[in-house]
Amino acid sequence: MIDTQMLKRVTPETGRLIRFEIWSDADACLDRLAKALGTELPQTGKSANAGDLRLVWLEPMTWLVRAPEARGAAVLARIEEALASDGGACDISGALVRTRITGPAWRTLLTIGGVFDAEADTFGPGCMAATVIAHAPVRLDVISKTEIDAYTPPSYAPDLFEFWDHAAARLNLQAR
Amino acid sequence: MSQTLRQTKGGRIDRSRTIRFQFDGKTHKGFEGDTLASALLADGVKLFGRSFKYHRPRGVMAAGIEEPSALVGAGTAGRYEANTRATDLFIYPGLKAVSQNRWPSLGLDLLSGISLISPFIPAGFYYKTFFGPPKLWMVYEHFIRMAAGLGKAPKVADKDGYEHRAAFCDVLVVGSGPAGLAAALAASASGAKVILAEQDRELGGSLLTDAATIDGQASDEWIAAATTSLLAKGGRILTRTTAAGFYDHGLLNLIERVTEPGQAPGADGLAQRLWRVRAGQVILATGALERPRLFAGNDLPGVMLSGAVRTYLNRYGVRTGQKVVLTTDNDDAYRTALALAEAGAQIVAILDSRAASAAGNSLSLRRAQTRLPVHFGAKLIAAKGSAKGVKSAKALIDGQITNLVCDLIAVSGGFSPVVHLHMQAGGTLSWNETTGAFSPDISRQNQTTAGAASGADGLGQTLTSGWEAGLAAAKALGLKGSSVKTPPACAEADDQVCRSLADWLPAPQTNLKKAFVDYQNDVTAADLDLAWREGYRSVEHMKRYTTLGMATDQGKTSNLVGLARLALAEGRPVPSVGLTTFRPPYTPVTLGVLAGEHTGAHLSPRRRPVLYQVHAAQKPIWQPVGYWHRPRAYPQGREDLHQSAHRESLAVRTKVGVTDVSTLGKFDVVGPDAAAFLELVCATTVGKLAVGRGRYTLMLREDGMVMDDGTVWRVAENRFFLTSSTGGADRMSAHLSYVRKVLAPQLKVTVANVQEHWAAAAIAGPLAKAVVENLMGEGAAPRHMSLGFGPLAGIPTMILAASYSGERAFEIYAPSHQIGPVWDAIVEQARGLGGCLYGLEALEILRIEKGHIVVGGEIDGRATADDLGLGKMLRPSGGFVGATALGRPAMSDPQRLQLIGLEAISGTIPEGSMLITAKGAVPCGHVTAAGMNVVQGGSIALGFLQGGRARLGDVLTATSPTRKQAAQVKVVAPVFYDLAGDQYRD
Amino acid sequence: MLLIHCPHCGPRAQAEFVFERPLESIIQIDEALPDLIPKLYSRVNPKGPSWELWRHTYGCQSWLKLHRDTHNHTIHAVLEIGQTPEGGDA
Repeated sequence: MIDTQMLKRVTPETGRLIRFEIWSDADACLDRLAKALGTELPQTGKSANAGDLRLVWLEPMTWLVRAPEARGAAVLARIEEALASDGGACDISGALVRTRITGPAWRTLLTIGGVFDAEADTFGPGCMAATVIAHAPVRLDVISKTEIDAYTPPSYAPDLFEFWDHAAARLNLQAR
Repeated sequence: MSQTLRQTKGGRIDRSRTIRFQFDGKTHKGFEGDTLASALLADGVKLFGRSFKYHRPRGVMAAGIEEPSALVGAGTAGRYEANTRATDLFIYPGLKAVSQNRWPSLGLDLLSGISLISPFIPAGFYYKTFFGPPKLWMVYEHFIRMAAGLGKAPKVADKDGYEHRAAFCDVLVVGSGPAGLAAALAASASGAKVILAEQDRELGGSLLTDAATIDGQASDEWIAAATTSLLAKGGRILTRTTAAGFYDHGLLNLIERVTEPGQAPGADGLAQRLWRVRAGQVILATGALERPRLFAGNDLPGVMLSGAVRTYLNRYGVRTGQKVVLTTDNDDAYRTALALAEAGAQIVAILDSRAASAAGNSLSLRRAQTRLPVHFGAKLIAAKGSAKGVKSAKALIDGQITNLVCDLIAVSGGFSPVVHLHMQAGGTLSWNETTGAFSPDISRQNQTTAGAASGADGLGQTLTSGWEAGLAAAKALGLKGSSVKTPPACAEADDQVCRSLADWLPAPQTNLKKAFVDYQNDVTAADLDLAWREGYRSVEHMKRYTTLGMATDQGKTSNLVGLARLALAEGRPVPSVGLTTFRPPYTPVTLGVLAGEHTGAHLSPRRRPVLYQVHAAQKPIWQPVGYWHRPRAYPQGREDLHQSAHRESLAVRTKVGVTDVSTLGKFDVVGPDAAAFLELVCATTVGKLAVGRGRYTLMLREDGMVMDDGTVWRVAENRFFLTSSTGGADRMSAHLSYVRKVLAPQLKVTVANVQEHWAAAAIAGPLAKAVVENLMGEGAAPRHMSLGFGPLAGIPTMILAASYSGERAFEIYAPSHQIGPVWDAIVEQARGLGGCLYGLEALEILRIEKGHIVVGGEIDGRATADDLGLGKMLRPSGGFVGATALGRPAMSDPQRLQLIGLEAISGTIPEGSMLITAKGAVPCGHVTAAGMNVVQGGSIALGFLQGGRARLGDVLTATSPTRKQAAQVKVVAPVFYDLAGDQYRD
Repeated sequence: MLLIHCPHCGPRAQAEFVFERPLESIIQIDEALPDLIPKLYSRVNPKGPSWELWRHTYGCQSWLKLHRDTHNHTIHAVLEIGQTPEGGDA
């Protein structure tokens, strides 16, 4: 069964989303960040857990960190300290809505209205991909074999989630 | 009396499952597995339609998608599908089909009287009608339109669901006949991820007509085993799925019919699915289509393609004739003759146009020669009959004209490999003069053709060619070879080579005016000869002048016959005459499947501000701004847009108003080089801003024109907040990224697009400061063009003191997922002080009065900063995008269109009107935005005027001739309210 | 729909990308006026391979240089904006 579940944005569990970019002295900066966050930053196209943080590669030298709301300010401060003069960070918590799709057929669901190969075996847990689905920009973060997070701007979210609900309902009926 | 022509046994239909359906209002019965054509033929129906131009009676000619004549409409209302081939529709309970292009009925089509004037309406006649008087043309054009045409398009929306899906594979195999299955098996066994697409509802292709023994198994078992094997290895098999188009880099569109034409969808609501498949290698096993032959009356009901006759017999158990004449240039027709004879039909004659010495040596030919009347070097001159079918045939046998009584003529003029997808993929063709066939030569993409489509002759060659193609495809992808090295092999008796010998010349006695080439567009051989005589000799001219190959069947049975006729007239070999372009889709595609889910409200994305539902509760008039939907006005009671907007703008001028500015472009710019970066993008100073201060700024294009405007605020030493227009936000985001990454990658700065992170409410009016201080405490309201921070309703907010409306104003920013309580608190406070919500319409009225420009209005891509009266704002040192371009002489021409204001002397200034000095004069400017004096009333406007700044006081006319509106106007400075800006300063 | 091999994201559909401009039309901030005019308004339109600036807008958002054959869509190279064809950094 496919279950589309939106992360509510007005509750404390929403979490803090922090975007940061490194612009100089990458090696040293990455080292400091790894120490500050407790793990190496994920490489191109990858994501990883760091304790209760989720780290997602976004663009060259640019990452997204998802932190529990209560720790948000502290995490942002720690990142900014580690970046020092080699990078900048920004809170973008309101810029993306996260929804989690669970069920083994998430791969098929994401090929509907899309152009990305979500059915590829190589796209597994710890992988991320940015693409466009049903006119909406989407960033995908594979959590496990049966779970994937999708981030999209809130302006696109209502239509995209409605689109996924309809597609998921059809898939359930067809049991492909 | 139903199913009179159905055999009692044999065929693949399921006689235990009867299906009732309607054709032209009459109920018929068929079986599960029947097409509409096979079920109607079984019921003895001969007449299926009327031809496009002459309304000649037509039956069924083929058994597959190439059918040109038996076109029906299937379904009702929005689900109606016109021009459906009766051969490409599998019957279902409740099917309602109707014939087309006849009046009042198929049997009595009065429009068939047109055939009486057929000498006057050959191909190309339509163009000649243009030479007459135009008024007369308008009269007979009406009747031509009514008489011509095939199906009628439905007038009701199609409510069924259509889905788009992406799929990826190593090897895509198109076609599941013996070659396609062999290819899929070979590729799959080699480790390739395979998708197999088949347009029929069953796999097997030609094996469904001619069962065979393959690798010791009956073909049905072989197909079943292949299916199991492919699926077990993770392959995908799609039936009722046509590969419609071959695009770039291995991308194909596959159209899957989830429902049959006119059939109501199941619980999932899905009618069809469009698969966008990206394949590493493509194998086209698309088979070959049989060709008709030229003789008079070759379009009568009862004249059918020989292979189709055999398909109706072997697959559907329908014997389409009792006294049969066959005309052929190859051995394949002999299989049809034998099958018919075994089913109890009488073979009147087999007319083989080959000389006996050139004929083939297949098992079927040798068997037929011993028991059936075979004539070599023989041809048909004419078929005779009516709407009720064929009655006799006139043949040329041994130089003698002979009359043959018959009720079915089976025709085989050779086979054309289906090369459409190969050609769409940019391939080339090679010509076989003997068989009269083009087959694929060079491929320009990772694709290859196998089986009959590549010219293979006989089942053995077909299987081998498919197998080898599958292995080669896997190898090309670097996959390991299959452990099974030998291709599937068929029994010797099944391996029959047909040895076509193409003969394009009709019998000399043939009346070419009745020898049809393109059945669907009613193009005869005489038409092609006429076109050639009139000088239309290139194949492109021939096609368009005669409309050969331009109907919904895209010339599948006619293009090559027409090409050969042209080559004959030219006296040149066929390949030198050229070919018209092969374009997708391969078979007609319903528009709904191309649209997918993006119809109605979902045609383009709908971007909603986070406060959308809160606004919706007020029932506003909505305004689309790009993809966004923003409130335009909040009418109370019976107010119309204008009344509402006036009330709202008056509230802002006299008390306070609240509006949602969440959609503005917003950027967080941070780093040691943040100011330097912003001074590349912004044409004003930025670096001089003190922390906590902001300013209005302009961003130019490379050519010096103003691209967008906004505000920039120094939040911290190395952190700036940039705002820009809603409509230009995505463009600004790309522009900032371009400057950052392409033009100045060395800068130490990062830019985050926070358009949707921040939501914001603008509070504007004389009481705005009171609202802020009531909510956030005394002193919380920053002075003009300063920013501050503070909690509101428990949410941390940022306050920017900036005014677009011209009143004292504050923009309160909060993270968008937290804006709800902030908005509610602000609105409650504002209402408590006698204020209200205001929308875009009121905002427009207010900003016009203040002379504030807007992107899309005054900033129209043709105006420089100086044109807009903002020249002094530019940084004299330059160094920003567009600075150099401003140095062009024309950019400082005093006669440029300059921003001015207009006051109405009489009348109301029309929106978008032109400015003229006198009636009939060339316009010297235009109105960009028409508005009103909010408090005093009176019509005002902003606009552009040549050399406008030097013409203050001039009297002009603002005119809109198309709307018959005009006003007399006086040119003034572009500001009508609070020139000094006292309203928004402390 | 073209298949473009983004150096970061791998092979992706053209729908994720935006064609921006021919590479030679890029105008530097301090471009001299005589060079500016032809870059703004003149275009060479070659039939054959040419260098173009694209952006992977719905992907990693990076700016890419494509060497695309305008005659048959063959894409000979996809580079990061700072890279040279030999593989070094520009």
